[in-house]
Amino acid sequence: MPYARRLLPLTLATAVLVVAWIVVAAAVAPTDATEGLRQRLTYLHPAFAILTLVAFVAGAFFGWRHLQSDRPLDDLRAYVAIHLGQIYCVIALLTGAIWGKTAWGTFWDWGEPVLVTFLIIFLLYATYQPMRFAIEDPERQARTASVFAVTAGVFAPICFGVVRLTTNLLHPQPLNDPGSNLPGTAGLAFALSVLAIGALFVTLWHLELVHKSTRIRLRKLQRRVEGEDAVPHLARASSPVTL
Amino acid sequence: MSAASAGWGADVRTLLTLEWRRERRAPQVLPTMLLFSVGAFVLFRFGLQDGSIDGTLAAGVLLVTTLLAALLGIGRLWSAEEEEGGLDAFRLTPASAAALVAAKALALWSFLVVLHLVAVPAFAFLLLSSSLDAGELLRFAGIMLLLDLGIAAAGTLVGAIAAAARSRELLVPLLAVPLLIPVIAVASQAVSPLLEQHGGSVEGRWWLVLALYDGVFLLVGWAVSDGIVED
Repeated sequence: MPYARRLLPLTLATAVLVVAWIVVAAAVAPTDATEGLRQRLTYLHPAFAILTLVAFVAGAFFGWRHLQSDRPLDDLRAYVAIHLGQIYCVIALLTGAIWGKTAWGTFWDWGEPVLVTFLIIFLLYATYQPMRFAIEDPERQARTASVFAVTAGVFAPICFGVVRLTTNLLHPQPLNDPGSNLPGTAGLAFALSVLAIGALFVTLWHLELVHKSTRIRLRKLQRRVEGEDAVPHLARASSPVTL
Repeated sequence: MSAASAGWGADVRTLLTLEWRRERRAPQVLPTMLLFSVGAFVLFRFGLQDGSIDGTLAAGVLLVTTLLAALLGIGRLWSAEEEEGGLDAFRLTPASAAALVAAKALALWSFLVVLHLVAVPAFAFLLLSSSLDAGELLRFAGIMLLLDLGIAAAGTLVGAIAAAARSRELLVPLLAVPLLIPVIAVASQAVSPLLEQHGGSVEGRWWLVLALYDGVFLLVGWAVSDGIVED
């Protein structure tokens, strides 16, 4: 199982990056003169938001591969990427709300298109599991989930692009606006946040893949030894593949 | 034109004809969408009290009504395939999956165009306070055609995804509304100046973004068609 072999070096590399990120973001980068402590959320919230979109696009990529190859492993990869993307999305929404409270005086602004777009994407992906587990046939479930993954994965970047074109933005655009480039150690802390949270995503993705693959193999072996009826099939709501 | 593409086009035409024949024999989608739209405009007439609207408000009322009416069509788009074994019958034919998806998208597009042919005059009569000259009317029609194509391309995918599930009636709005927000947002930006009292022009980029949205979802539909139809 190649994923299990990669797990230890990945975990070590992630640990190093996460420690470096926390040290630089909390202690090395200077406190902003105008924004104060609030500015340090820049080293947390944008990275989760960026990685959320990366996770959903990765889900689309593996969903596409599953449609091409029909390999259950690709469906599992897409499922895990989307699952982690949903968790990252919730963290991005929560940290964004905290930043909004300190910067704008409100946790949520319905007039702010970037926030609303992110919520729309979250709501779209929130239908992934209910949609998936409402389909009885496992093969059809996997195929339909892949169609969803590709469609939603293409939609997410388009949605953000269109919102940027159509509306005036209150939300800062640190990657687009040359005036808001982070200087020196602040820029380093931001880069480290993206790297560390990205590495955390890759490690968790591997961990969940190993966990689910091991369960699948274990139950297959159990059935071989004890007979088909000895190991009941788990409810599909607990796993993307029939165990 | 190669024999393969001619054959593909003939398949799409046959399947599209089948969709329209089914709708003529037992009208379900079009009358529902039409009645809903006109009913919604009457409701807005009462809800807004004055009833005369223009500009962004008029664009919003027209486009949101279109979106909600389209949800009704999307929900029924794949019902024959699921409930009456149409997909099993299709798999026995040599036609490609992409032809079926294209025919479904064209069918929904044509339903939406027919819907607008009736609903837009009703909207103008019941709610709109401004009037459009010939040039504005032509630009308005062009934008609505592109909007309908975008709704049809994304809606066909949503309908196919939801059709496989037990609770499809609940899934269609949950999936379609977020997916269609960008195309409604862009169409609203494009249509609003045309519905102003003193008229206005449409920025070129809205045409481009609408065409891009349509193109992307048509491409996605073509790319995943095998996954939708495969047994």
